[in-house]
Amino acid sequence: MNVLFKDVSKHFGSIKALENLNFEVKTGDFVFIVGSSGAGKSTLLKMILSQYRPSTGEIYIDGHLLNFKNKHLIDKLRQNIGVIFQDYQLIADKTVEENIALALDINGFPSREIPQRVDKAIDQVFLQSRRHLFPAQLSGGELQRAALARALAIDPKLILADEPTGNLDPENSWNLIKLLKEINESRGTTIIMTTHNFDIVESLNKRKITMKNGTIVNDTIKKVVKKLKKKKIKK
Amino acid sequence: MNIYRNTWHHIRRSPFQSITAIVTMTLSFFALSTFAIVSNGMNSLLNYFETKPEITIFLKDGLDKSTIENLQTEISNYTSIKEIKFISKEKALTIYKEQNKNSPLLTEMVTASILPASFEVSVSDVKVLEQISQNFSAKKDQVDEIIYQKDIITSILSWTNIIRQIGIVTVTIFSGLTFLVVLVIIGMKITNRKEEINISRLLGASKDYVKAPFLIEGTIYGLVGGFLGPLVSLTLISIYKSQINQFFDPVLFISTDLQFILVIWLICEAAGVTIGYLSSWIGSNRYIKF
Repeated sequence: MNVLFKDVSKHFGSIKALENLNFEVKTGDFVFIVGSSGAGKSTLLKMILSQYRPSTGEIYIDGHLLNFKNKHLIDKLRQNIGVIFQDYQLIADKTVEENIALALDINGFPSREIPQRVDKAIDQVFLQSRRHLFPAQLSGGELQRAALARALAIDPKLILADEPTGNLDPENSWNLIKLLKEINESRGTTIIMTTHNFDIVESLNKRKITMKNGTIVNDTIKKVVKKLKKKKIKK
Repeated sequence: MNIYRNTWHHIRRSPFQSITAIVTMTLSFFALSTFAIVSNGMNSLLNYFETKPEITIFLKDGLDKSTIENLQTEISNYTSIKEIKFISKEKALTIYKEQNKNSPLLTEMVTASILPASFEVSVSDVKVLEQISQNFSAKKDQVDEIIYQKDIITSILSWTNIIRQIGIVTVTIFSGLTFLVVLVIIGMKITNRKEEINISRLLGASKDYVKAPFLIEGTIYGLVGGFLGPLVSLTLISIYKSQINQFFDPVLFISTDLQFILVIWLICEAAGVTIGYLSSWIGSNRYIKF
């Protein structure tokens, strides 16, 4: 799934959350968005998810201009996006497996297929023993994994992960990253992930967009392109 | 399938709100079916009197055949006339003797000459009786006396009208109240589940998808209320049915006609579904705006 931001700004009254963003994430890319708290990382993800509409500029998802009047288009786009929210956004009175099943039902998967997909997603995040528990009965790490399972179950074209390792211990953090990397490589799923964990960012050697005060201060794709151009010239 | 599971989940998670909605629905349809049954009984009562010879015009002695024929023609010109029966003096004597065959003393001295000839007129619209009574009372040289069960008919008519009016007002008030109760309950449920709706929307659920369980919930309240209301009403009425029917004998005031009962049930179910669906539809449109 391709994401394109053209001169996008987002203002909340006098607060400028995002200012004149221009970037493109191509299908199959794995992109980290880093920056300090309040840099605008979560706002950016929320704009891709059409939770916020831009004050100015245009956002294209898979070539479709996000038109907030076209609710049907937005619903369809959201169905192709797996989201791991910073605050998990799991439904409190549904068990882990019910939360996952709901996402599958919303996506229109046939009823007979849902239990198998739920099982698979739960196995992927090693939550078998917690599948019948409610969110309030889970630890922070387990909640994060439940949210990941819900995102993975629908076979999304794009995964938006907002600080997914924030509540995980180092071992689980690496397991999650390995899983996301594997999905990105095997399925070609586009992944946009915000994080503070620089160890992970550096070790994966993927594209990194650095944000500060709502603007992009560094995008490693430009360096990669420059390196490629230099290689071509030398040849 | 998940929509039905979600609906059941909503009902189960707030049982007291669900019970309140169902009880209010049941009360409304209890009132509706009770008034329908009573109204039907009043109709049977009216029908009984309407099918009887409602007015009897006793004629003066000595009228010739052509005058009697003219009077009969005049009666037949009224609308809603079902039957005109001419009872001659001789026929009147036969009837009198038949009625008093167990009392020879009463029949011995009576001859046809002392009994008046008469017309027995039955109508399908009781209001015509008033006109016949007024017009023929003026024919003093031909008409001796008019017997007209005006008081009974007027009384039944006015009672029927009062019962119908009370029924309409009560059912309207209850329906309005039910509508509001379901609307408020669905509104409360939506507010309670705002987070769930919000999450579902972010996962790509359409507005119709998140509204559907609430619409089904309202419809279920209507279906259950529409079933229970007439059930309670019919159960209570069946307990006192024999006493009520005995009181109105020979009129069958409480109908046991299965078709009539089914029609009441179907009307209650249809009204329940309409009220339940409409109120939850308005409620969900009002509260689900995100």
